[in-house]
Amino acid sequence: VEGGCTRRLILNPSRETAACAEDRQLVSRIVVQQDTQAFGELVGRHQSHVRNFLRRLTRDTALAEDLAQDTFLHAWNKLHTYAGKGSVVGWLLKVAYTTFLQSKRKSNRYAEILESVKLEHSGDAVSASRAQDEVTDLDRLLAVLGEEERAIMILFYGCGLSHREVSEATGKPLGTVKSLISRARQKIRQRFDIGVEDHA
Amino acid sequence: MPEPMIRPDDEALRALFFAPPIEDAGFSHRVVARLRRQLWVRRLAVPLAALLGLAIAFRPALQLIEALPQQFAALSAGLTDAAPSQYASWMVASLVITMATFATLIFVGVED
Repeated sequence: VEGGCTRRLILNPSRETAACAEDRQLVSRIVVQQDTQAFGELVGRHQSHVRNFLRRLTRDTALAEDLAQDTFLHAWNKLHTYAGKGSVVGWLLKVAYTTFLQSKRKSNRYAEILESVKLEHSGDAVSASRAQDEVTDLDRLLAVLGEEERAIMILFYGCGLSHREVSEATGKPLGTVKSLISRARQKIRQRFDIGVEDHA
Repeated sequence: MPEPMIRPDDEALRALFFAPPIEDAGFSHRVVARLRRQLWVRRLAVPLAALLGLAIAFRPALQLIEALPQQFAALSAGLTDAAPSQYASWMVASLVITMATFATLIFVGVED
């Protein structure tokens, strides 16, 4: 399935290399010729990754859509700074994360989910179920994490970025990324009483 | 409500985080349309600002151009007529003293 946030897990390496080469060609057309049509093509290729990432991060579809549009507009302005190191999608996710951090509009959906989980544990099932509309296991799991841990876990497990790519996308040192993933896994293990192995 | 069912391995987390691809559904067109609007506004902004500035500054600039020859004439006449006064001497003397004081202070500072 191409276009999903988990492309790394599905595409084979040769196809991925060809896709990266096509991405780089599009980038050079955009930077050199200011080609908006090529930019549209690039957006079409990666919109799914960026939108999925932002939807997971905000748990708010409308906000995620706005941020995704802003992300691509920022990407247009900054594309000349893309040095060709790493994948284009990794770079776009970095721009998306920066756009999310700089956004004045914040979603408090995860705080609400966390609150409902607490209510549920305290036995207030009525209030909890009222707040639980369409809350998935993943939402509950992400709700117990801090904003930074959540972003790193989504980039690593959801978007299939490597530790190094997550480090580049978030601007955190590699060691910090690894320890944040480890800490997040530990939180998940403690909170949900599950045996997640620690590979980070 | 039951706790999330997560298998105790790394793949389970990957599976849990899996998100199906989102259809474009006009998203890229919306982004490109917004981008083109921005570029159009940017391209138009500079000439528009220049035109506006020209419209605002036209009359004062014209008055200034008309007044310039008279101003220059007055200035040159003033310079010709100027003679050293006691006030000017005092100004020069205080300037020299101030500079000398600062130079000494700087010299002492450098030495320390």
